[in-house]
Amino acid sequence: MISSRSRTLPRLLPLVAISAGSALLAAACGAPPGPSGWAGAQPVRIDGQNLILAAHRDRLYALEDDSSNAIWRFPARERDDYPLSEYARGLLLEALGEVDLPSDQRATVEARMSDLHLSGSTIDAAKQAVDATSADGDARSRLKSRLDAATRFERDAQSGLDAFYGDIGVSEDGRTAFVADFSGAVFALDTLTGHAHWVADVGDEIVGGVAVGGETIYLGTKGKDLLALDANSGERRWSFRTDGEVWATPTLVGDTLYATSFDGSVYALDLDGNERWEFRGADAGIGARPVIADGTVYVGSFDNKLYAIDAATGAERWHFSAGNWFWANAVVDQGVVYAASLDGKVYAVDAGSGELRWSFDAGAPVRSSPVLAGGGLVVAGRNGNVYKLDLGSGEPEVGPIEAGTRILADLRTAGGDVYVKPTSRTLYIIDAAGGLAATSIPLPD
Amino acid sequence: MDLIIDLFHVLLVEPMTNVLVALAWAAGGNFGIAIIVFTVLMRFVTWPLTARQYKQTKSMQEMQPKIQELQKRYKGKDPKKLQTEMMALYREHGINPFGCLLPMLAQFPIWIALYQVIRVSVGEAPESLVSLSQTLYPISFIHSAVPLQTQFLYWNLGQPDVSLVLPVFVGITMYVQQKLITPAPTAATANSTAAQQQQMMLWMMPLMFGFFSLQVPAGLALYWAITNVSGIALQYFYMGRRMDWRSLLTLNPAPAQPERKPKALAVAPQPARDGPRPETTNDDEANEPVAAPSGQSTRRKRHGRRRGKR
Repeated sequence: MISSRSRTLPRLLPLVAISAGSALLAAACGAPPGPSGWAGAQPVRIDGQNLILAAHRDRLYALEDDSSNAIWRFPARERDDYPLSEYARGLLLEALGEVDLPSDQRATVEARMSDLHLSGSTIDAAKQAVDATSADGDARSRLKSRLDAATRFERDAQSGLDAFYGDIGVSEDGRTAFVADFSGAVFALDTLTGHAHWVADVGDEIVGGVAVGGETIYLGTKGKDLLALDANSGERRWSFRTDGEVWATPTLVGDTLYATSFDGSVYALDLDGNERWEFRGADAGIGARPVIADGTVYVGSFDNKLYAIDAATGAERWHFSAGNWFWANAVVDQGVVYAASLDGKVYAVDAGSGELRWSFDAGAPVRSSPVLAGGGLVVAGRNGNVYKLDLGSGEPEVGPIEAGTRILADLRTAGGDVYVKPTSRTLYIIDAAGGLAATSIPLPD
Repeated sequence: MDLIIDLFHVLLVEPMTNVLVALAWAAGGNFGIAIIVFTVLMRFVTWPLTARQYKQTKSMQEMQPKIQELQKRYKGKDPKKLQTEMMALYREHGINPFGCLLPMLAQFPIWIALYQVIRVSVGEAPESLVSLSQTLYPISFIHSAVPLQTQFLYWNLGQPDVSLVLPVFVGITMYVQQKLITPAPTAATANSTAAQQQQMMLWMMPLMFGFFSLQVPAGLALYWAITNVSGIALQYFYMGRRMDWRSLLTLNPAPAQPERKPKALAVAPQPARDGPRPETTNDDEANEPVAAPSGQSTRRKRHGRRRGKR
């Protein structure tokens, strides 16, 4: 018995070491989870046609609302079929205009540059057209370098996509969708074709979404900046530096931009990026989008508090405490603020006094922002359960219906329908007016 | 099973997560410093277990000359007698052959929990923050430290270190640590399967962890690096006099040879099967010339001891 044990000892050492290493890795399941994205679906109405933009991880789909057929997918499967953005093509043509060329040669190169795709034969064809011109060698080299740089930049931007998190911004006419990727790439896409108007790289990761205000779009970055980009070109108009990462989509109301930061502040800026006031009362970061109603900014914080702030001065009016962070955007309706917390509860709070009216236990942390639809409050827990709550009592009118997988994305509503995007490759359209009848739409690969 | 997992989280992962985040808050949001302090802190917390492990390892190393002598005497002649004598030797020195394994095994849950803590805390993806929110205690300053700043020196602790500095450092420090605790094979055991496995593990583990460090966020690689460095430091302070630091430079150490004049250590020839066992040396004598597991010369060992005293 003894001799057997001592013989086994040296053999055990490596086995134990291997087991330890394996156990360590198995227990931890490898690396921390990478970004998966939780961008909610965005209904869009354009030229009498209803579309739904839905993101899944690093892909964006445009679906017909009626048939749920996919119209396009971004990024495109084949880069050879995906045109260079309009803005980049415009810059190339502008550069071509600076070169002295006979008109027939110019027309040939222009035609090639107007048909540039992100990869494939069109690039070579354009270069050959440039080489065939009578321009001097330096000018030809410069043109070809710019052409290469433009196609490479947009190709890399698409292949380097991580995940879409924030709100998808849509222009007033519905023709352009602005999407920001976690990698720091921002795209202005044609909502009918999925082709890019322009592509920009802001240089920092982006968690929040895009707010659209006429010719300017606004977004925050993990690099602590609040950015204003030209909606037609993606070029930076101004940036405003905060003391923390900016994870939430800013809110534009009139001529004031409201933004939150992980420095625990709410900022009010004018449209030139000048600060009007700063509320620095939160004891932890703020990851929710500010909601403005009746001259008051309502926003929840990671210090477990929901704040009501004077929209004109930034002075705190009241705060309400919960058991965990507020990350979901608040909803305000008829003097009541509805706010969901990661403590698993949905709170209805008097908008004037901050007093609790009722609370509902969703049974799981709630990160996705609820919506008002069908005369009730539709809320989704991280566990995938969706409820419709009575606005007066907080009792569930219907539900739960189960999505089966986690729900972290903000809910969206249009025409009585609620769009729910869980972490699975499925979009649920729920009829909030009825009994939460759900239609599930599998998103294509 | 769920109960065990829940207990594991409540008793280990959650408290450790909160301590780590609190340290990050105390370090002005510097998560790198928090990881370093936390890892060292955990080394001290687990010191009683580590010390037992080192003590057993040290005793095993001290016994090597005697084991070699026994092996020389009985190998191929009377294996049963060899095992009996070796177990008697273990008993004589108060060593449990499994004594160095048990403290190591006991530490695994703590290290796994620590790994989990870093994994959850350092995650750069927003999803990690949702998970973290469920782990933090309702203490306001802890929540105010979130999100943790992942920039430390030139590393983004939430992303793999593509510069290779940390992965290489993890590999080297792990090799050094492995080398220090792996006894050199004796002449009798040099060709044994166990010795070959030990030598293989000496290389495999550093390579594996170096490779893992390339894949995981730099925060985890930093944690491994500090774990190794603090392990080496503890080994130095605990066993420094007896460690042959020069052997680190030998890629394939020669099998240890019995000492030419092992007066103080060698097992004296047994006069008779059941005859009186020679008196063992006192501690000072035993510790004096022996030390290193690899049969390096006495002169080299003394040199090593002088270095250790400096």
